[in-house]
Amino acid sequence: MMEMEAVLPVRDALSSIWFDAVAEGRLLVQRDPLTGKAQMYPRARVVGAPDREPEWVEASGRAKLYSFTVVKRSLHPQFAALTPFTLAIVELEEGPRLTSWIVDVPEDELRCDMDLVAVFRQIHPGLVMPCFTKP
Amino acid sequence: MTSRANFPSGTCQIVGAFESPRRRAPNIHPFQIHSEVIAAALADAGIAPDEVDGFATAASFPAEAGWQLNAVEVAEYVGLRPRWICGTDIGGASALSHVGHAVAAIAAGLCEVVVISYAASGRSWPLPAPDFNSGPTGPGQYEVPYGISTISAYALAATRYMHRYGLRSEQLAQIAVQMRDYAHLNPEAMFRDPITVDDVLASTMISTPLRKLDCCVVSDSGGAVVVTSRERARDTRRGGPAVLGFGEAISQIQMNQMADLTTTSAEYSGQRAFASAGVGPDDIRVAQIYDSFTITVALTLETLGFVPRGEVGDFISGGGLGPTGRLPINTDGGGLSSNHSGRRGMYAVIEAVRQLRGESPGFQLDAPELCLVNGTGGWLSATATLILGAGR
Repeated sequence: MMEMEAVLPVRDALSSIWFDAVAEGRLLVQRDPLTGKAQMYPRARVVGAPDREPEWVEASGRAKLYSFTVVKRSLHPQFAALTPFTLAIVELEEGPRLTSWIVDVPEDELRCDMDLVAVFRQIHPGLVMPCFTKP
Repeated sequence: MTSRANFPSGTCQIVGAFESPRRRAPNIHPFQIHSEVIAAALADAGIAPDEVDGFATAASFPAEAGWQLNAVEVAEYVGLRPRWICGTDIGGASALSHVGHAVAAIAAGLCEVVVISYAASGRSWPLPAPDFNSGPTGPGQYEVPYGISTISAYALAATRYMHRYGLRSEQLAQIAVQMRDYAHLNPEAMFRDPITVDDVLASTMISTPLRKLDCCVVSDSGGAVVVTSRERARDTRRGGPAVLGFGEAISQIQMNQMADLTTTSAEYSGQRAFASAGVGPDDIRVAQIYDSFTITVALTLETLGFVPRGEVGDFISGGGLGPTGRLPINTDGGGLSSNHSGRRGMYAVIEAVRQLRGESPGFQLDAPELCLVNGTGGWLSATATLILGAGR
């Protein structure tokens, strides 16, 4: 009934900027205008410096695989039918990490620190999200 | 070793402790279990219920049946009228925080007899509950849609640790085997039949590299402890261990925010606990280490400084956690085999009290002087560390 809604993003004014870019195939990150340090997830202010507003910049899409797990069983009704899927934490070239999926990479080829590039996939009906795969 | 920093070390004692023998309790509301364990812990202490003037609990998980004001709900049900109340919620480590906060409150004169309770129908709660650490709003909307769950969050940490330090699945499995061996001694443990490394490796893969037997049990249960001043403790039925050290620290909620998946915030909560107790890892011979998953134990042993970085696999293989090893842990069988209804921290504190009183239902060491307890809440989200002393 409400199951799929329970995992779909509830957009707000700030996150809509990021999701609208994703829908156009662009991956945005934020950057501290003072130090140049990039941050994700998107926030209204610079992490640890709420007196500064970050600026949006487009990420290259290049990343390394920080860690991963192949989810074989899921208790979530929304995800049980999608197993197996490869959940990952990827580290963008710009520095921040994202939670994501690795797609089109066989399980035995997955290695921490392997090179990745962003691709955009529909992971739920009507929801395109950035995923990552081999370059 | 270091100065006693800002914690009233040794001013309070845990004079009552009780872990419910329940493990499967369908149709029993968690508030009933709160009543049972509070009554039993107070009886253990020899303190009348109307003397309780401080109360702490965390009951916000769905299977704990509390809502936003959950500590008030439980106090109302039981009929407590505390002048000091604490509802700190840092997941499974909450009970350890409650003990530390209670000591500070008692030392400050806000109250004198604090009951801390916990109960959950983790196994049998009839209503559906999502296994997310946050919802798909705000920070969670960038993580929840990918289907992360509690076990997969810990699996991410395990994958990174194995990559960086070469830990093997059979070494992780040995943690589960050792906990089961301790549970075999405990008549109240949920699972008592001994298992082997091969059994763990043959159990269902849930989220690589973690298998079913790398995961804690899911039970219905509860527990309570009573904390009071050293002066009031003299007039209790049995006295109890002194609270010598305490520390707490937070890390993250979203897994993409964790600075290092191989280091928990026990780095800080542990340092604070050791500093306030004036002892170090070398002084500790037995510990209760939150074992939501086998990897939780591995990361925590290194983060607390019991094992050098990257060497926990060899430490486990060498029997370091066994009855004659360097650091027996979870001597009741732990969350992996005895009891884990949602927040293991309470049971870890209770087992530390029993160990220091010489009455562990599992493996009892010969008159230990100190016991360290480390709780890990959420998805490696927060930790609290206690050091208790037998005070013989």
